[in-house]
Amino acid sequence: MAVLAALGEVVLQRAGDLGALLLSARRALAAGGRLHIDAVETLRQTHRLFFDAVPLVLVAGVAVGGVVAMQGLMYVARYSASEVFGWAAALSAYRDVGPLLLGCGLAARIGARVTAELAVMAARERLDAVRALGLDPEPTVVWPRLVATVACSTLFWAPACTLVLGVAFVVASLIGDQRIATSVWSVVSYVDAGTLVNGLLRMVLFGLIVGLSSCHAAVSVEASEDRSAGAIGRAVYAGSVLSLAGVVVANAVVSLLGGTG
Amino acid sequence: MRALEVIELRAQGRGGLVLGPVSLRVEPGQVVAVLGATGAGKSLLLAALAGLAPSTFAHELTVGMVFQSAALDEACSAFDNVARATRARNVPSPEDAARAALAAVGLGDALTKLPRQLSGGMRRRVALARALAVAPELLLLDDPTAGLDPRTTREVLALALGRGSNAPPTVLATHDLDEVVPRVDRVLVLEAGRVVFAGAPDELSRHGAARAFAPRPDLAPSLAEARWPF
Repeated sequence: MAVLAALGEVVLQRAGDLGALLLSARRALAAGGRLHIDAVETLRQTHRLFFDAVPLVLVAGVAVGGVVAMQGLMYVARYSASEVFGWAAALSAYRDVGPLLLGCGLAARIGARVTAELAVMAARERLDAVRALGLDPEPTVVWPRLVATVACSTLFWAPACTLVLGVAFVVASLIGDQRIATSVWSVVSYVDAGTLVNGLLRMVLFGLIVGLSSCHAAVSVEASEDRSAGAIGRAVYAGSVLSLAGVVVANAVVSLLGGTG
Repeated sequence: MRALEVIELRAQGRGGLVLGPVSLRVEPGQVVAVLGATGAGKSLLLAALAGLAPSTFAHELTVGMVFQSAALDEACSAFDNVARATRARNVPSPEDAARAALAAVGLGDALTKLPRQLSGGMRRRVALARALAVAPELLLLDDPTAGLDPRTTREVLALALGRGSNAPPTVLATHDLDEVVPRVDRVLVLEAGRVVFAGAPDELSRHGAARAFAPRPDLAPSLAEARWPF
């Protein structure tokens, strides 16, 4: 019975989290529609978060590019199909592996940072200070970070995925005698716009999930009695787990719904 | 400038603390100090006056508030922290007002500094500049000298309280009997959310100031019960 009760508690908590997330999303969208979000703050946050995540994206892009090359070369070697290596690598980079790993990376870097900043603001009276000015912290502090997270993941998609593809081509040419010109020709010939749009929409979705999860986890600190450093750490952990789980589940759902077709 | 009139304010804080009833009247230029042990309800009273905690008190005054932790946006410069307030309160020429407020607290040359580049006293002065820049009709100071050395304490108090009859009604929560209380007009002592003393500062010493700082028995063990853990 105790196990069932504990399980029920976890399910109720997660259901509550999901409901709160959906409510936050609805309010954020409604506020965005009425242009109530602080535009200057949103731009400032986008600039900060974007450049803060550049090193991680560069390192991750190089690593993922290497993995894509090695996996792709296996099939090239097995089926002697060097002309489709570029196409397969582009599918991975722009639509499948690229957005998924980029989403996970951004959850760890941008999401954790947003959660930590907002949780500290909630715990250390900074949101109260904003309220004392007669401002609502949501459109002035919280939602600009949410929009900035979505903007960053959208902005990162093209350069990061192109980096993945470029590294994959170079690695394949170095270790597999795969000619770069053949790879580029394969991309130009076989990759259609739908693939690119699919990947970009995934990144927007992942950015929204990371932004909502991290903001929700942070704001929960203010509603709780415990505002210690431990509570802030738990909020960052919860935000990261929620973001990563959300990205993985959303990726699976999009793929099942025909996103890979 | 209007007086602050509070009649039988009641509020509920975190941890189940119930505040009130609290009544007080503060004229423009007057300063009321709120004393009491940790958990007595000082910060809750200020939060209720600022409209940050649910209470029976409502007003439409422009509030300037200095928080215990300064509560600055760490990602913004000193200037941006103050300018955000002046813009939010529709102060005419908000950037100029922010610069003037920072200059008035002696930070005219630290406009571009981030809060983490400032000392504790300077951070508190930025918070004070932010509160004063909006030309508040009610000034609330939550332990503005906590953690400051005596010299910085005197500097901050001189800036916050030394502005004569043009100053707004000011309510200040503090633990500092030596530096703060002699500078205020009235004192309010809270104990577990209830007012146990209200009067002039010199009456407080006769009443027994020690009572204002007696720890709540449910929050702090007595020294006799304390055990060194090693």
